[in-house]
Parts: sequence; C-alpha cells; structure tokens
Amino acid sequence: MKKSTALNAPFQPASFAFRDVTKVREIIARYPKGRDQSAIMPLLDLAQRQVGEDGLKSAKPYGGWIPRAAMDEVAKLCGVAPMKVYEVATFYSMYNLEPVGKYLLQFCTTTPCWLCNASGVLQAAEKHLGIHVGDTTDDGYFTIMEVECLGACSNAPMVQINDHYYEDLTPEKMVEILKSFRQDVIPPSGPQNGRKGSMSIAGPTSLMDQAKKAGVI
Amino acid sequence: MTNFLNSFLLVEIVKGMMLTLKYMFFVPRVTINYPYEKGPLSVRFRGEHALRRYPNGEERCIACKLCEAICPAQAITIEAEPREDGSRRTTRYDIDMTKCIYCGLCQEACPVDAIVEGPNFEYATETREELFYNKQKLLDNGDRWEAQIASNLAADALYR
Amino acid sequence: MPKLKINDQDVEVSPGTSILQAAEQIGVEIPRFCYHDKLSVPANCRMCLVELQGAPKPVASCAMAAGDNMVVYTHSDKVKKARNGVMEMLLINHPLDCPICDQGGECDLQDQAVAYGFDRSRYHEHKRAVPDKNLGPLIKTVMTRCINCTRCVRFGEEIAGVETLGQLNRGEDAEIGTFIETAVNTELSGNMVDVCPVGALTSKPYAFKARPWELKKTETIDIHDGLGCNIRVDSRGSEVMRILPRLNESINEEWIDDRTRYAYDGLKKNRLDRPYVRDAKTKVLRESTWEEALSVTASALTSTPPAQMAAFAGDLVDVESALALKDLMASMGCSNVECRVDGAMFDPSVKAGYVMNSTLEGVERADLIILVGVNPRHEAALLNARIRRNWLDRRVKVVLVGASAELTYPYTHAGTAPKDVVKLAQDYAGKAKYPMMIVGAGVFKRPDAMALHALLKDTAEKIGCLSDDWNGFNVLHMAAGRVGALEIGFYPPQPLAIEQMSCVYLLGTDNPETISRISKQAFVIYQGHHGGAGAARADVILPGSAYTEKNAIYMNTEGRPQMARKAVDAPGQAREDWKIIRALSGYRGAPLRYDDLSQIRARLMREYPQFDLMDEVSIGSWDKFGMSGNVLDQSFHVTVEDFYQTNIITQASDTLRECSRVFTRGETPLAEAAE
Repeated sequence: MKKSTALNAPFQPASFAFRDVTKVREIIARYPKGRDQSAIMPLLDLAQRQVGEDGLKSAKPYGGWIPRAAMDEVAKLCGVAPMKVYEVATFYSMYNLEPVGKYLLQFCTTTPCWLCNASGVLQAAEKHLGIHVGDTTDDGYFTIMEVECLGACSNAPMVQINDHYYEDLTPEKMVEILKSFRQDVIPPSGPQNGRKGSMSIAGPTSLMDQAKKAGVI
Repeated sequence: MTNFLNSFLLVEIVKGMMLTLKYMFFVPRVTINYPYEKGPLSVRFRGEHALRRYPNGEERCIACKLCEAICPAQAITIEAEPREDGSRRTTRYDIDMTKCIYCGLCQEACPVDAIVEGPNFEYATETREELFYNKQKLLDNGDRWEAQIASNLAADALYR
Repeated sequence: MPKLKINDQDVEVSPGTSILQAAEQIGVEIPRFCYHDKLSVPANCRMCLVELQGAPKPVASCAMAAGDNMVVYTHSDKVKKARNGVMEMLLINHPLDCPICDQGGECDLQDQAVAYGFDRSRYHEHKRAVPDKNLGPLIKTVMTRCINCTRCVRFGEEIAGVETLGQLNRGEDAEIGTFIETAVNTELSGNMVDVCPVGALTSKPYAFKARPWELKKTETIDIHDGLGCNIRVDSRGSEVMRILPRLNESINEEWIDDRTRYAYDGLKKNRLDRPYVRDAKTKVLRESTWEEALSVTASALTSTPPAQMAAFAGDLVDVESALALKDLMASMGCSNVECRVDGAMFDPSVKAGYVMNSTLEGVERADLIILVGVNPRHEAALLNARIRRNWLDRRVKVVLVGASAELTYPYTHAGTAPKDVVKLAQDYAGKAKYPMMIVGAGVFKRPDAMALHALLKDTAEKIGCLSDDWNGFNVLHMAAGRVGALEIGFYPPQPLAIEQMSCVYLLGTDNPETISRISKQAFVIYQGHHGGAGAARADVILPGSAYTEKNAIYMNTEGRPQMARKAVDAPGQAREDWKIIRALSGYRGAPLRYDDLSQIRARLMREYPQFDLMDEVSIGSWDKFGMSGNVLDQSFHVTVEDFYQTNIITQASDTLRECSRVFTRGETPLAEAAE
C-alpha cells in the first residue's frame, strides 16, 4: 500500500487543530531552540492519538490516523515545509495516513514468529473477521496489518493491538481475543499461554535465587 | 618431341572442345533464366530497406536515432516528436539509397528490429529522385515483404 | 591541512574536503549519482564507494571527509566489485528504455553502466513501476526511471526555494513526489532536468526532438536578463534545439532560469526574414529587397535635418551594432541617440551609478541586502538564488522597499516609496559591514528619475555601502544591451523630445514607452529580428539577427563584457546588425571606416578600453551622479509583471506563453484542458 496516495483522498478533513496546546508546547520545548523540526515525530503521534480519541466517540468507531491537515499543522508548528512532514509520516509504518479500525491488529510475520505459526494465527484472524490484510471490518472495529519484526521474538507469535502486545498466540486464542475486543472488553495483554514475561512456561530453571528475590516464584 | 606433337595434333584445342561438349550435353545447367528464374538468397541477404510494423499495425520505429548515428554513409535522416498519444515516433525517416552502402549496420543497431534490409534487390529506378526513400515508402516496403523478412529474421535469430 | 594518499598519489587538501573532492583535485574521477557540487551531500546512491585502508568496508567518498594519513584506493578490485553491486541494485528497477529516453547519450547511469554494469540481470521478480507526476509545462517525468538520488529535491530546497518535491514512502515504494498534484512553480525549474542523472525528469519542449550526439554545441551568453548568463546553445542545422547552462562561478554558477532555457522556440516564430517597405500608396508594409529598403532608408536619413533625427538602441542590442549606429548618426552630425528606451531616465554620466558595483559574487559577502523597487526573483532569478544561498548560510537580513513580492527567503517589507528609503538610512546606518543596496533599473521610470538617483546615492552612502574594499550600490538592469550601450555613450546630452523627431531609427526597440511617443508623421526605420510593436509602426523594416545568430559583445549589469557566439544562421535574408548599418552608410555615400568584425572591434576597444578586458569587471570610480531636486511621493511600481513574457523573443515563444498562462495566471495547462 502506497501511503502517499492517501494524501489527496476525499476522506481528508479540511482542518485540524491540536486540543492539548500545553502538551504541544511541552513537546516543542523538549528540543533545543532552532531544532523545532525534531518535534515532528512526537507531534504526529499526538495528532494520531487525538484523532483516535475522536474515533472512539464516533457512531462508527475508528482508530487513530493522521489527516493531511494535521501534518500541515505540524509543519507550521515546527517551521518546516509541509513536504518534510509528509516525508517523515510516509516513511514510518506506525503513522496511519488513512482511517483504520478502532482496534488496529499488527501481525508480526517475520521469521521467528512465522516459524511459530504466525501465518496460522493471521489466517485465523482473517477467517474470523472475514477480511484480508489491509482491510477494515464493516463495523469499523478491526483493521489487519502485516508488519515486520516488533521485537518480541521470544514470545512468538505475537500481534500488536493498538498499544499492547499479545504474545504466545495460537489460532484459537487469537479468535478468543478478537471476540473479547468485539465486546469492547480488553483482555490482559502479554503472553497468552500462562507464562510470565519470556520466562520458560515451566517456571524458572536457573538463577533461582534472583527469581525469588524478584518475586516471580 | 612431346611439345611438338602436342602442338601439331592440336591437343589443347581438343581438350578445350571436350570440356565444352561435356558442359553442353552431360553436366546440368548452372545459369538461370533471370528474371523468370532466380537464384537462392541467404537469410542474411542485405537488400532494399524496409520499416516493419508490429502485428497490430503499430510501426516499430521509436525514433531512437541509433541507425542514423551508426550509418557510415550518413544516408539516414530522422526527425521526431511526441505523437498525440505521447509515444515517441518519427515524423520523418528518410534514406538516401544512392548514399547507402548496404553494410547492414542500421539493422544491427536497431533495438526493435524496425529498420531491416529485406530480400528485395530489384528496385532499380529511372531517376535518382526515386531512390530518396521516405518513411511512407519504407513502411510500404515493410508491409509488402513482411512475411519473408519475418521468416528470415526467425531463421537467423539463433546466430544473433 | 590533511595530507592523504589517493591511488599512491599524495594530495593535500583543505580541512572539510571530502575524499571525492580530493580525488577530483588530482584528476581522479569517482563515479557518483547523488553527489552534486552545488548541493548538500546525502550519500544515498553509494556509487562513489572507495577503499579506505583500515576501514572494514568500502566507504562513500562523497560523505567521508579527507583525513590525515588516509590511504585511499579508488579503482581497486574491491572497489570495482562494490560498485558493480551498487550498479546491479540500481538497475534492478530501472527500465531498459534507453532507446526512447531523452537522456540517452548523455545519461550518467548509462555511461556508468558501461563501466560497472553486468550484461544481464539476475533479478527475476516483478519490477516496480512508479506513476508519473505532473510537474507542469516544462518538466516531463518518467518516474519509473528514477533512482531516488534526491538531487531534484535538494535543488528545490537549497537553490530554488520551493519545497514541493520530496522523497515519499520507504523501501520499494520510495518515490519522488509532490504532496498535491502541482506544477513546480519556480523560475529555475529547468535546472532540475539538468541535475537529474537519469531520464526521470526531462525537458518537455525538447521531448524526443533530438539526440545529444547530433547537436552542434556553441558556447555563448544569454540576453533575457541583465546578468548575461553563460549558456550553451545546441543546434541542428539552422535550428536551435535547446539551451543549457555553462559553468561560470562569477555569474550563473551552473544554473539558468526558465526564460533563458525555454525561450528558444521564440527564435523560430514571428521572425523578420526579409526587408519590408511601407507602400507609398496603400500604406501597407510590403516585401521588398535589401537594395530598395536600404536606399529608401538612406534617402530618408539624408533628407532629414540632424536635429530632427533620433536613433534608439533597444533592450537586446549588442555593443557593436549600437556603436555602428552611433557612428552612423555622428557622421550625419546628429547626437540624438538614446538607449534608455524603457523610459528609465537615470543619470548615465558615472559608471558606478548604473552598474552592479558589488558584482554577483559580492552577494555572498553582503551582510545586509536592501532591495529597492526590485523583485529579484523576476528580474534576475539567479541573483535571487544567490541571495537565498546567503540567507541559508548566514541568515542575511533582507529589506525590501517597493511592491511586496513572493521571494524565496524571508524579508522585512519597509514601505513602497522613496521616503521609506530615506527612513532606511536612519534605521540601518552603520549597522552592517557590507551592506548591499540593489536598485531595479525600473524604478527610474518616473519624471523625477534624476533626483531619485541622487537620493539613492546619498542613502547608500549613509547606510555605509561605500568603504575602501566594498561598493554596495547596485543597479540591476533587465535589458542585456543597456549597460553596453551606456558604456559607449549611446545617450544624448539632454533628454530627447521624441515627439518632435521626423525621422526615427529604432534598433531593436519595441518598448511602448518610446514607440508611443513617436509622432504620427515621423518616418520610422525598424531594425530587429522579431515582428512586434516596433515593426508594426515602421515604414522600413531591416531584418536583423537574434543573439544566437551573431558574434557580438554584450556587457552585463555588472559591467562585465562577454562574447556571444554565432550558433545558427539568421533566417532568410536577415543579416548581422552592424553589417546592415555599415551597408546603410555605404548607401548614404559615406561608408563607416570598418569592413569586418575585427575592424569594428578594434575601433571599439580603441575608444572604450573597458571592452578589451573580456569577462572581467572593471571597477568604476565613485563620483557624483544624479541631480538634487524634489522626489515625488510616489510608490515604486512593479517592473516585471510576468516573468515569462519580458521581451520580444519570449513573447514569440509558445512554451513561455504556456508557462505564463499556468504559472503567472494560474490557468489550466493546455495539455490537460485537451484531455
């Protein structure tokens, strides 16, 4: 999917304004004077979250994404040409440039997850929701995306749903999680097979003293 | 003595006459009755030029001007501009056949097999001007000889 | 000063020099795509890899600064292998369409593929295709050919000052694009075609017209603005096929503006290719012969008393023909000659009063730039680029007095009238070490020109524009012929009463300011190359030649004489201008005393030695100029309304008329309207 094509799409709102102006000021103040352009990325994230908040209240819910008007606003705040902001926003996969579902499912299908049956998990989700990668369900709840490694290889396979990781998945578990989300009940994130963090499922087998001290057993 | 006998008995003449008689009656004829009969031509024969078309009727030439550049006799003149659909085509493609030395470099240079030297060698004209070929004439040539040109190219494709 | 070894050759360079530049200094060429002398260094093409002893991997020489005791090999086997790999990657998605690509024959990628390319591809997956962008009537795009070197993006940001192009997306989807479908609205857009190392951006008017190897290249100069940009005219037969910039660090660096680049199709249209004479009975111009036209002209000149005769040298007139015309008038005892045909009646008596004293290179030294009644973007686009460079490097302060304009750097708008200039003198006096005042010659198109000239001189002195090693008073001319004509004294002792002249000789003069003042009864001789206002008013037309058709000297707005060279023949019966005047003097029975170009040049250099120093600026001394008097409280008006339509050649050019429609008036491009 080419992200830049969304910039001229008809769903783009005409204007955008940050609600949390103090936060905007705080973000810009983080960087040395004259280096305002460093604030582009956190501001884009802020914009995406703000749109996401609106999406929750909408009759047909949607998730966070960045309208072009928001990018223009960020460009103005940072004193750079709008093009600079588009370049950044189209580069990173975590910025959504078109509306997504209320729950954005980002499936990792890179080698370690894939070896642990990530494609099975993905297929289960696709089958359950009746959509394919890149699509959004008609009720506006879910969007499926395929992403590269999210750095949770020790808990493969995994999916990122909005800001949380769901790890150690099986196709059945995946469907359960989706059902729960459809009810707007957010299941606990983390490993889904009962293990703690990336510890062995049978409990710690070495460094027992430290484990005890840390209170994991 | 032998020399004397040879010249006295006209041995050379007799030998020569024998050869003549042999070719008159006993060896198959090698001359042909041109223009009613024609000898075989190599598939690589370099004769009259032609501009080819694709099977859908679109002319092949894309005005890259490589033939113009390579032509050692500078016999080719090309002018080009974008056609209405935006594709690159010639507006003029002239070959001065009186300059051409039939070296075949133009067809070697052509990236799309558009300009070829076809099998036709019978295009003598009464005036010089008739030998200044323009694009229309070359395309007509291509249309007329396409079947044979295509089969020649196919036959030679292995070695190119 | 780092000392390093490149290919076993010692070289010492100044700190901060890259290895690539250091190699260039000793004549070792390193292939590159993204690196460009005048642009920033992104190091993203990786073609310039070299072997650096001690480094585990090859390094990009364009971005690696030369250090002491470095040992560099630029053509070792390891380097060759690395570059082969880079080339193979670049060619993976590059289409094999060189035969239909306009860049073919002058393409960096093509050339370097010969050296580093593999003769077949190992890539069997699908190739990517990138949709073409619509960048307006000048640039044609085939984005699939793009290798993402980002030269065009950097050119837009760093030189032209338009940030509408950018590198969007990532990985396989990476592409150069505009955020909204928009033409690249800059007067320097043609240079993007030049910097593109492949055929992704090509010139639209030149599309498919010619191949580089069949063009005759003539190095000459441009006359569309006062800078005298150095250009190369590529011609085939009698036709100018395209115009490219030529490197001259003192003037245009390696850029030219779009007017210079794309006006050439105007050289083929609306030309005066034979003499015309207005028929005595029908009052209509009819085709004529040189004999008739010259004898009619000669008898008109002979029968008019010298006091009622006047000669005008227009915007595009070269020095030789102006001199010949001045000599012709002098031989008849007439001193009514005038080159300020646009009505800008400044004081021409002191050279320092009407040239760019700081020179164009001086712009980089300036720490305060005051623009008076000038829009540098339209009147001298490359001067504007230099100001922008200065602003980017050092945030130079720019102050504008005059109509506000859209410039490519921020500026303070300090009013619109002469009184605001006076105020500036108070505000900025002594504030800057190298203040630079740039006055557009157009501001003098007002009745109080002499007084204004004196006022500007005073202001410049007060601000501190004059010091021992700095002269910051600059007049920027639009007309390429103006300074040259002024230098040979092509102006009258007193302003001419044009209305009272009964015989007027217009040498390439089409300015309405002059033509509208000619009386109805006057006999008008027009000598020029294009049919326009001058030719329409004329009773005799003598067809002359345009700047690509003659060997001539022009002096730019800095006072730098430069040589224009003949690229093609003038059409039809048109002749070189000074020859026409020489022939005319023969018809009058008093031939001028030169028969060929070398003789007229010898005559020129004898009297005006400043023309002997080709390509050099001769500094004029600072003296009193202008006349004290009342300055009217009247705003400076805009000199150039339309960047693309400034002289008679641009008006004849279809390309520039289209640019004017699209860029200046914001209408839909013709090509799109037709679709």
